[in-house]
Amino acid sequence: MPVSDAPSITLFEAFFRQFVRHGKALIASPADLMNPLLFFFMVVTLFPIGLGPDPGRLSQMAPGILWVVALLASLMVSGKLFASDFEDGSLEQLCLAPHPLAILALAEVLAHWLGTGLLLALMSPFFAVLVGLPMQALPVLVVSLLLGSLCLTLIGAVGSALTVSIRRGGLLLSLIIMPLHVPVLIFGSAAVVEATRGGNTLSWLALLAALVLLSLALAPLAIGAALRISLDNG
Amino acid sequence: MHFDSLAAVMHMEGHGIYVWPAYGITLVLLSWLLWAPAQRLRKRKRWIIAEAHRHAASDEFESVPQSGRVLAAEKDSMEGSS
Amino acid sequence: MWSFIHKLGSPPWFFRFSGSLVRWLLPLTLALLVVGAVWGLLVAPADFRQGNSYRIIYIHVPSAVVALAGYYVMALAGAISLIWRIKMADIAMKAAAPVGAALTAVALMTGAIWGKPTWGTWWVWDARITSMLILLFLYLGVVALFEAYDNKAAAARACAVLSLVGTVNIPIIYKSVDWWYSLHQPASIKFTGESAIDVSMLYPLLLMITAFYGLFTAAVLMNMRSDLIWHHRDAAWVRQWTGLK
Repeated sequence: MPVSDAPSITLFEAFFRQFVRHGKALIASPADLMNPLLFFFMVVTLFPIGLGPDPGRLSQMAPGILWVVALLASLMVSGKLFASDFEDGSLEQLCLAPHPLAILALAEVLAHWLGTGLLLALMSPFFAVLVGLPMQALPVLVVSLLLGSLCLTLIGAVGSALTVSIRRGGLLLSLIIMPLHVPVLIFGSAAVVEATRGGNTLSWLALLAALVLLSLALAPLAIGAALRISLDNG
Repeated sequence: MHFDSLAAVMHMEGHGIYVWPAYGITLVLLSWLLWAPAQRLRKRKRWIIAEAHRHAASDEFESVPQSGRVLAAEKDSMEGSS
Repeated sequence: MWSFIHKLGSPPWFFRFSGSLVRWLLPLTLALLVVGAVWGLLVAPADFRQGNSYRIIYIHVPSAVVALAGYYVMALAGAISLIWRIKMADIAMKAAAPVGAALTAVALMTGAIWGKPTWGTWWVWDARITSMLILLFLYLGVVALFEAYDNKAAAARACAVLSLVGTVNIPIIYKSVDWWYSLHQPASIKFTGESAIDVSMLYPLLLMITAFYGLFTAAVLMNMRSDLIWHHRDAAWVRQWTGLK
């Protein structure tokens, strides 16, 4: 843990090291990168099976399907965000570090997002084809998922920080975080719906961007406070 | 007064079957909201008194068997649903 | 003023104070509820469009209003507990959550029953009902999180963080659900009778809203009292109150 024993490093360096450390951990385990994509793939497959193969109806529902599945995938992975840090004790060291916990946690969240949300957004056109999303909506889908998944990851990280000390906290995490994800789902799917209609997508994407900025500003504070509380409980 | 008779009040021109159950459900839930904490307060008060008597008894006779597990279980049931 | 606030943090003082407060608040609230219900059910005129089914408004709107306000009360208590580490605020927050959840459930159920004669179905994904449902989920999340923690002091602070995050979110949720509704269903079904409500219908409504606020306060205080004596069961003032020695 270079962060705590070298108090002379600047905040930016600490942030960067934390970011790199988590990025490396993600790359070291390809399963962690692949599983969300696999999950996305499989759940998207369930919809034609459950709803019937009618291409017209599927393509009409495609924006909603893709966004709901992306939200679920984000929920599935955010539970693991702080789990290993909590178990191996590096979270306690982070708390003792001379830099604000909120900033260091943000580095972890961003690294986590690069490995999950970003990847998922970039791969989403392939899954969109499966449910027949009109081609002209693909760019908007990618952009909305890029913005939206960052937001989902930040909010999910608050839930993860709150439930990391609880055994079998995965379901609980979904329960407390799902209602907070509603605005993201609404703005994101609305943008894609408007794109299929050829309507005004920019306002919805701007709203998503506003949510990203708001959660970038506020979520780290909540994450920092929640991590300290979890350490008290554990 | 809007209605002429008790039957008219119950019937409400066909809407009685919606209005009265809505008020009924509300009445039940609101009563529970007030009754539950009152009941809990009474239960906990009784427990505190009983506990004090148990302590007094065990102070008098050193070897009174105190079933700790029963006590703990009873205490857990007090913590719950609050 | 400051001494009053300091006294609020003292368990024995608060217990005595809340006891005498509940003693007059509870009968007053119940009287208001009875008067408001009789007024709304029997005296107020029928709505010219919805007939008598609109009388559900006298429980639906008050419970919805107080449920939403209750979330802010809970979050405010949470903020106080996080900033000043006041134990009383923890207890208040924990006491408010189930009461708020129950009132949200009342609003949802009465709304569903009201929907049947008005819209022809029990459930419509109306913007306001959807927001109310999400509010219920927010409340239930706080309750579930509290139950899941072993260390109850940590649980209270975790719930405080969650309810503050929820408070930031509530206006966004309400606004986004509004937009979502207008995007998908362009004004085909509109809530009637909200813009201009007649005074003869408004007065009982205001009375009921006041009564529901009183009821919320009384229920929260009673919850707090039952928790207070449990937390301080070994303290002298609790033993004195139970009549021991």
